[in-house]
Order: sequence, then C-alpha cells, then structure tokens
Amino acid sequence: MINKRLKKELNKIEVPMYDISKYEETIIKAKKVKLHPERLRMSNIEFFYDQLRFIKKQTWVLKTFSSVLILFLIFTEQMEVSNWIWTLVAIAGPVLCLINANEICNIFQPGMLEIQMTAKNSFGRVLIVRFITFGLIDLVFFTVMAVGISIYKETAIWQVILYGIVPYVIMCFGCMLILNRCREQNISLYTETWGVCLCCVIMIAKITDMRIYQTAYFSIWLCIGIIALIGTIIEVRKLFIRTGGNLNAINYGTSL
Amino acid sequence: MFENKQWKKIAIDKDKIDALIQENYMSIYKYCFYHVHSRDVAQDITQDVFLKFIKEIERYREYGKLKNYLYVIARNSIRDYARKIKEVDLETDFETEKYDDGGIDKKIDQLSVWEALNSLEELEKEILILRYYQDFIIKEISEIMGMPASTIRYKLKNAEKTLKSRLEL
Repeated sequence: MINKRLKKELNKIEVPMYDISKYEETIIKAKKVKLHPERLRMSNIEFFYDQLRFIKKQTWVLKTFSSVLILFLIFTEQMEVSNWIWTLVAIAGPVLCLINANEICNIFQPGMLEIQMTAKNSFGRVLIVRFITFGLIDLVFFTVMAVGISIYKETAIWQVILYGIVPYVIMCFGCMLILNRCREQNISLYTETWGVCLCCVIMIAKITDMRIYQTAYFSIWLCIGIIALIGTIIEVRKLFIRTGGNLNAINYGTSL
Repeated sequence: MFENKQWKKIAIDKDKIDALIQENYMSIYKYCFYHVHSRDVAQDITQDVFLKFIKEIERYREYGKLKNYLYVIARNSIRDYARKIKEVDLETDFETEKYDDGGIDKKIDQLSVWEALNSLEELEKEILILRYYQDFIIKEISEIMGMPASTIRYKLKNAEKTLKSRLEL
C-alpha cells in the first residue's frame, strides 16, 4: 500500500517539462539506427512453428493416412467381442508411435539437415518440439477415436482410452529405452522391430483367443499402463539430461 | 500498446519507433530526473536509453513488459552516469536550473524532500522512486531490479520509515 502522506510529500518535487527539441532529436536519432530484424530472437511459439517445417512431408502423409485408415476400419467393424475392433484400437497406438519414432530417430542421425538444425538450436529444444507435436496429434486421434467409438458403437469411453493408450505408452517406453541405450545408426531399425513385435503380440493374443479385452483384465491393463508411463517419464528425463550435456547434468544431477 | 511482444514490430518497422518513444519518453525522463536532479542530464540519459534499446532490440528476450526493460536500461545508464560524475552538488543544481520559479518556500520544501530522498541507501532510493513516482507494483519492481519481491518489500518498508522520520510525518 502506498502511504498517501508520503506520496504527497514526495510529489513536492516538481519535474520540469522536457525540451521538445531534445525529444524530437531522440526520435530522429532513433530512426537513424540501423535495425537488424534478421538477428531477432525467435519466441518459443515462433520456434515451434519454425521447427514444424523440418518434419518430413512423408511423415505427415503417413500419419494422416494411418489415422484415417485405422478410424475407417474401426468404424466399419461390427461391435462384438469376437471381432477385431479392440485389436485395431490396441494396434493403433504402436503404429502411430512407430511413425513418430522414425521421425525422431532421424534427428539422432548425423545428416546435414540435422546438423544444421541443431547447430543453431539446442538438441533438447528440437526434440521437445517433436514430442509435443506428435503427442498433440496423437491425442487428437485418440480423442476422436474414443468419442467416435463410444457414440457410434455405444461402448464405455474408458475402454477405448485404456486399450488405445496403454499399448501406445508401452511403445513409447520401448522407443525411449532404445534411444537412451543405442548409439548405432540402426536405431530406427530397432524401434521398427520393437513396434512390429508389439503389434504381433497384440495380434497373437487375438488369434489365440486370449480374452484380454474383458472387464476382468481391466486392472492388469491399468497396472501395465502405469508402469509403462512411469518408465517413459524416467527415460524421457534421462534423454533430456543426456541431450543437454553438462549444463543439464548440473541442473538436474546425474543420479538418473 | 507495446506490451504483448509488440516490441518485435519495432525491429521490423521503423515507424513504430515514434510510438514507442512518444509513449514512454515522459516516464523515463521523469525517472532519470529523480535520480540526477538535472533536466539536461535527464534528457541526455533518456535519449541514451531509447537509442540503446533500439540498437539492442534484436537481443531483447522475454523480459516481461517492454516498459520494465526500458527501466532496466535507464537504471544502468544512470549508474554509468553516476560513475562518471561522482558528486553532484544538489544546491548548485537548484540555483542554476532556469525552470525552477516556485518561490523560496517551495524551493526549501523541494530541497528538504531531495535531501531526505538522497539520504536513503542507493537501493532503497531506487525502489522508492519506482514505487512512489513511477507507480510500479512490487512484482514489476522486482523484475526491474532482478531481486526477489520479499526483499523489495522489506527495503521499501525501511525506506518509507526513514523518509517519514526525516520529513517528520
């Protein structure tokens, strides 16, 4: 709170009006200053949009195509326990994550474009943009899928979310483990192998008639999902510490 | 007008410079005047503040409000000036300034406030000027000074207490 008596007393000091010619001189001199808009720093939002340009067109095409195809297959499938709808929901996550992983692995490969991209900006920032972008897009996909299935197929929304998200998180966890532990150029091959294996496991469960989508297995799905999520968070943290070099190690420690 | 990151437009469009100076000239000039007690010097420093800001605009990075950033530059410019001129003779300044035509009583009043203000520690004086003359809130002052809000609050209380006793309020 301002003390009014004190303010009144302080306001006894009168500030003389400035010289107009000096004010005009300031404007003239200011206009003569050579500006360098090209040196302007980008804000975080501008940086984000700028980075989107570096994501390959084929990644966008592949992601759109896969999303539309999966949604089409899901919505045209009949809603019965014996059919493939839940298997499709479960496979959707690893498939989409695999496309993301391929794009993310590209910045770990020392190509010319990637060197240019990370020479000016920190590797961590470049990585965050990709995580956020793909995360948001996949979130939209899962939301559309969950809402669509719950409305058109008259099923509980939590089932769609659980069966869709858990394999996605498991896939993310695996990819993060690979990114943190493998240095070779075959890193994308490893993630692809992991994705295919995960899809195969889901398909085998369906073919061998394991009724993993029954309500009785709900708690198991949930537990696996939580473990995978915690694992993913730890691995992502490790990855960011590694990508930031000494600075991140000082800020966050090297205990992980 | 120039809040919400519109400062970037200044770096691209020179016509925005007019508006920037017009909008902030008076407040920066007043701020400088309260520190240096001389119209000419305050004007010179004000000019310097705007020129420095425009020259360095591309380096500007998320400093909260643009106005706060101008005050940071002004504060540094005043410090530079103070380093050059170690002692400013307050009374001589008052006698030589042509603008002061308020009569002897008014002049004595002003002098006593100046003296009370100058008796404060440099940091307390700075905080008091920003709070009482420039009407900044504590959070904004802490951004300008680069200090925690709690420290600003504590220093402000001290300054108020000292001033009250000096001015016999």
